[in-house]
Amino acid sequence: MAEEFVKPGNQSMGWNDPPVFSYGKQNQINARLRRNHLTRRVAPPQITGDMPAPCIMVATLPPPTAPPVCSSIASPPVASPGQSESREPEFDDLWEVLTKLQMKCEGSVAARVTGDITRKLELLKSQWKNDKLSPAVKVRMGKLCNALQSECWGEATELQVSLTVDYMGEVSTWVIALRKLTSLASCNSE
Amino acid sequence: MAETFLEYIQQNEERDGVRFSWNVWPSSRLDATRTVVPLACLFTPLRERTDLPPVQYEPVLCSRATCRAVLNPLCQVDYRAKIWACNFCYQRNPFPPTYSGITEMNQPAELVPQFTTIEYMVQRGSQIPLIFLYIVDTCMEEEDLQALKESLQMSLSLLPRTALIGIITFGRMVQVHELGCEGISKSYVFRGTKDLSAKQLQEMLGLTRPSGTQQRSAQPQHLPQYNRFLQPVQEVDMSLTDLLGELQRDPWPVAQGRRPLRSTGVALSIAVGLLEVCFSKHVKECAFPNVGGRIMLFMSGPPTQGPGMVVGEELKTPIRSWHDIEKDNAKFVKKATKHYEALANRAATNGHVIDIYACALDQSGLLEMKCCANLTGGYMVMGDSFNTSLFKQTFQRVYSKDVHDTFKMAFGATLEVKTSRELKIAGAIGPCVSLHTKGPCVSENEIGVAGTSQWKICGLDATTTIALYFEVVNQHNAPIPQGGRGALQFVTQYQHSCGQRRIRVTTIARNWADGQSQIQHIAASFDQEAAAVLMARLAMFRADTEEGPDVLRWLDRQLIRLCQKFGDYHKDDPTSFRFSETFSLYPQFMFHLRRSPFLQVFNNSPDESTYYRHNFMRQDLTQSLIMIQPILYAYSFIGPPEPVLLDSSSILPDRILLMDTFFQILIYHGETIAQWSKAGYQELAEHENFRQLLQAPVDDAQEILQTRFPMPRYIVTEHGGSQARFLLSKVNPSQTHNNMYAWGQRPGMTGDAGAPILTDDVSLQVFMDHLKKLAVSSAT
Repeated sequence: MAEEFVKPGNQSMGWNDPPVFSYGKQNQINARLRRNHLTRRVAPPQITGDMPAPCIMVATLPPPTAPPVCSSIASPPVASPGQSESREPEFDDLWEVLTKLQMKCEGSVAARVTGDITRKLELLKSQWKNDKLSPAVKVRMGKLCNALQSECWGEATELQVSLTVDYMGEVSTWVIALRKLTSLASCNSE
Repeated sequence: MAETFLEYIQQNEERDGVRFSWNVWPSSRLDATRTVVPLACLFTPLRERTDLPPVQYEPVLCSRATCRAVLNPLCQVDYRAKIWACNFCYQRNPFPPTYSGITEMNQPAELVPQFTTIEYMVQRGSQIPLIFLYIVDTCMEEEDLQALKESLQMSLSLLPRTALIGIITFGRMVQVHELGCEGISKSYVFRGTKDLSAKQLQEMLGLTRPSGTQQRSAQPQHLPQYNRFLQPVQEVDMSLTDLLGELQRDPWPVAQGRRPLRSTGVALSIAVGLLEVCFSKHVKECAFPNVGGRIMLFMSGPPTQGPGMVVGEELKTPIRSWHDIEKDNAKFVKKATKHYEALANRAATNGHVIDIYACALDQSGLLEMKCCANLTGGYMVMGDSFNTSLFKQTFQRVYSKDVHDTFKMAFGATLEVKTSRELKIAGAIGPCVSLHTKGPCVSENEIGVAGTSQWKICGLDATTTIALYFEVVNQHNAPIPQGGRGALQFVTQYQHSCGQRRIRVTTIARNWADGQSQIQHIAASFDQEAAAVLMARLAMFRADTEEGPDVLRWLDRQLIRLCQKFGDYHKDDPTSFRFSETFSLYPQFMFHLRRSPFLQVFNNSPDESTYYRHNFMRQDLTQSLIMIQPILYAYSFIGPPEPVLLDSSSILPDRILLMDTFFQILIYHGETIAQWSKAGYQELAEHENFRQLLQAPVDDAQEILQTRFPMPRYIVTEHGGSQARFLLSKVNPSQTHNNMYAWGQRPGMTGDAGAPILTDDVSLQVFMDHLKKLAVSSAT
């Protein structure tokens, strides 16, 4: 559903900063119970009374110049899965879905809230039109609007959270409006 | 049915979340002291279980006022008379009327033998919201502040919609922000130099109680006065997003050679006071007493003014080091620690959690503030900057959900322990405070948080683990009842993140054995992993009040005594010493514990030592052991990945090593591997196997990185690399610059005997030789 990626951490600000996992990748592992399988240890031989390992003679040969070759010629490395070609959606289609949803919800909330949502959607519009958003964000926005259109509120919320977690730098000013819209729409439809 | 003790131990841990040092118990006080390692257990109250039966009624309790144990599978039941006998105090209790239909064939869940752990979901009262109060330091670089703002904005999408949220910002002054006011932003500003009592805060924020308050029941629930500062996320998420987005750096200019004036002490005091005034059960008109609340402090440097300051304004005076503390040259430590301890105790009394997220290149005062996290069960996260993946992802994981799609964090837990009459409770070590509950099962001997059979854990999750220490009180030569078993019951009441109160009950029993005639049964039941962690917690607890060398001497003394008691040897013949497999890893654990950053403060700042100890004192057994003795796996063309000795001899040119210290995940390429990788063989089709070899440890590392809290650092290094020092400092230095010639090696050759390490540290071999000598000696 959400794109999965692993990117390097911020090595200039933090030493040995760990890699960044996308929201989708993190939740994939949380779906199963946390289990760390690297937990085994080896006891030192002298404690159990086993004979110590024989002293290894120093090799006089130089190290091999190349790693051992595959027994059969393997196919070249497969491109990482999930990188299907995703087209960027048309902004006008998205805008139609969002404004329609906003009009539906208008009656159930205070004017201040509607005003806030409108303001934030305008920010989204201006960033999109001025090419300030990356292709990945646009693609995910397309999926989100499809979910909203099909009234799959749960999926829409997940997509919104994944956008927030993975691309907060780009979406911080307006993404919360999508959350509000989704939650209002799902309340109204109950 | 378990085949071996190892399987038995593992099954019990999975079912009940408990690991004992001994699984067959010495039946007298004298015998118990002679086993050296105390009878104790590591208990994970909320261990993740997906298969617990849904029990939606109140637990049935023993009617004796001094007992009140919960009905459990160990109780004797008379199904015809509908009476049950408490296995702790032998009181006969009638079943409540709702149990009139039970029979041997139709048992209630709590009597079914495999449900030694069971969870009651008590539907008392309405759903209780959670509270989150953010305290944000604004004295940081623009880039850092921007990253922190984005993380906080992101969290608004992760919080439960009904949770209450508030925000306090601070720098030189402290600002408490009013939320939900339309059109304008309002805040109350306090001086950062003057502390406030809860009462003063209440008056200044206009939170005084209305007089003649019989109207409270007529008032709708969402109109209480705290609403100006703490509002439901769903009401204020958009305006709070804007407020956070508009946050500026602290406007007070910082002169050359000086630190920014940071009033962390007052900010935290105001936060604790605000929640106390609004949500403490000591406030009569409070709508939600006993609510789970989380205060989250984000700071980018040390407090430099007001109560709780840790260092002065001038940069030329560095923040205290261990050397300064040892020489009594750290003038702020005592007073600051006292300030934060008082706040921690208040928060713990009110059932509120304090988290500390400290991101700075220098120390921030975690040493002085440790009580805040340690007493309340809060998190302590230490990073270099808020603009790092380590902080951002660790922070995200605070809000992670379990397999039921509910938050992993739980609140307001009380843990009560009941014992059968042969046992008493000496105390607990972990992220808890005492509830001062005296009773027949409380021992006079004190270990850790003692003098009570009940503790409060304000914040906990599925890995939070408490160490509990027991005393056997049976007198020597007092007869054990035939087939008699000792029993323990752990009753954990807590607030689940969905708002519901739950009660988890674990009841276990173990056989008694005579310490003279049945010592081999006791020995065979030893859990060396649990024993190592339990002894380590004891040592770290002592290290807070005793001198470092004294703690090490105590630890060594216990190890020697254990070897003397349970080793096989001929007197005065060290070479004859043997330990059975049950004990074989224990000396190695103690060796690594002695040289770990938990007990060796050399080369660590006080904040770092505090951070490491904080994490150790709450993690479950597996993670704690990793911290004591890191895991080392080797990847090579010879076979599948395998664990190898944490020893310099494991560092070979033609293999890749993966080391997990809990705080770091390190991948090390041996010299030959590094050369091949530089030459680019992994890009060639016929060397696909080499590419896979390089990838294998990366994949395994990622699995750990994706789930661990807090997120570890990630180091990829190679032979000769500067970062390889993290590996070299952890492995047992069996080969050093002092003894490398003894290994038959000519200088300048690396060969197959592993890499020598430049150190004067004692190796495991030397340590074991000394240990054996002392253990077998008739003089010791």
